[in-house]
Amino acid sequence: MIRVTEISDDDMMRRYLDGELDQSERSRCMENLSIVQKRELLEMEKALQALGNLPALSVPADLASNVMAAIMPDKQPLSTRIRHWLLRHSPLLGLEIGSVAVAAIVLFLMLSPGKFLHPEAATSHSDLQAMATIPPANSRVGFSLYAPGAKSVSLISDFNGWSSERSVQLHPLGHDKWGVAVKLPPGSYQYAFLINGHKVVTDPAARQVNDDFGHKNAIVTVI
Amino acid sequence: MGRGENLSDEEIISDCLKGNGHAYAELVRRHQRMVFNVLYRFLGNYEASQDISQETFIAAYRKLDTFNGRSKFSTWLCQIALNKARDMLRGQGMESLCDDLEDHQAVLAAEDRETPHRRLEMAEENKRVQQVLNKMPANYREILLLKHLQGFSNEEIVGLLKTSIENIKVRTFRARQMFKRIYEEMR
Repeated sequence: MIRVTEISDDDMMRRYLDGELDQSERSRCMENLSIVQKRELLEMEKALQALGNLPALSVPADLASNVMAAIMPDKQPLSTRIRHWLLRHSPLLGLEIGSVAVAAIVLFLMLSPGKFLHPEAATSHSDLQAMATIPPANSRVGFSLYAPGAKSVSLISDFNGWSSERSVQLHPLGHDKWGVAVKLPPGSYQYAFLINGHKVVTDPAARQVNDDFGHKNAIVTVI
Repeated sequence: MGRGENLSDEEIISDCLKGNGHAYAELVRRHQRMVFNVLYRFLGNYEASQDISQETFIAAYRKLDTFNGRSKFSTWLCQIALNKARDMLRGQGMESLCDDLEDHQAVLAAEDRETPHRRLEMAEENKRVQQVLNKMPANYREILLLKHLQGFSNEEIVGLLKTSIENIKVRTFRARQMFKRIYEEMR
């Protein structure tokens, strides 16, 4: 059982530690406490000061950009969307377009005097560089598809430049199911499956977004 | 300089709700330090704190229309962050996710303006405090962080943890006692 005086002292000590007392009240508080209580309060104050003095850590450099990439996946630059479309549809057109060729086409469309496309969205150097670079691995993300009768299933996506040459092969899991796990850094990635090297299929089990050319891509967000 | 730099949080939120999602970047820039630090001190794990910081901002954006403005936006974010962190701990059946503090000496290190000897002392002290926190139950740890690291008032903590002021006072008392005991044991 706690005595009333102890409750009162505890409350006074709480208010002292909460910073609710002014200087004269703090002095009075100290005067009213026993030597043991006083020592305990000062030791407590010292320990809590150590907690309050913890330095603020620097924020990971890519935190904000990862957040914005996740919440604004549809707002990719026009050049990126053209690139997706070309690379995604090149297998359908019977073409095997490499990254460099696609970059050239994108540049041509963007910079053409005929203004095939809006001139504001210029292709940046980093944008082109990103096409040829698979980002460093991070989280393991699983992809799977039920594809009866398929001889091969692969994954084409932002992270491999939508290239069928650099596509990731899914493994047969039995009962017409195919799957693969890919390590990806944080971000949002649009993707599709390529069946037998030519038929593009959107993942029916994933969230889908328009690719602005009348088709849908599946989208996965790694956080 | 960002366009939203002179706007209040509420004005930016209103902008976002009108369809200007890009404006949200300014809110992330403003509050990422607080969110990440609360999470790091709460979870004791750098990578998990980074992941949950991102999840927090993404979740906040998706339910921005439910933010009623009765609390500060930072308090609301903190509430989302701690809910997510608690869910993660519960999911893994753990009280904290201590990582190897040596791995993050750079971020835990004391400020450069101190002498090398003092910096070393401060780094050791900071490491000890984090280790004390890691040994405490999550519900005690969070209250100490909110009160003594972030400076939230009892009333703000009541709103944030959705509990009574009496509960906050009792929990604070017990958390402080435990913190002091472990802190002194580790000296």
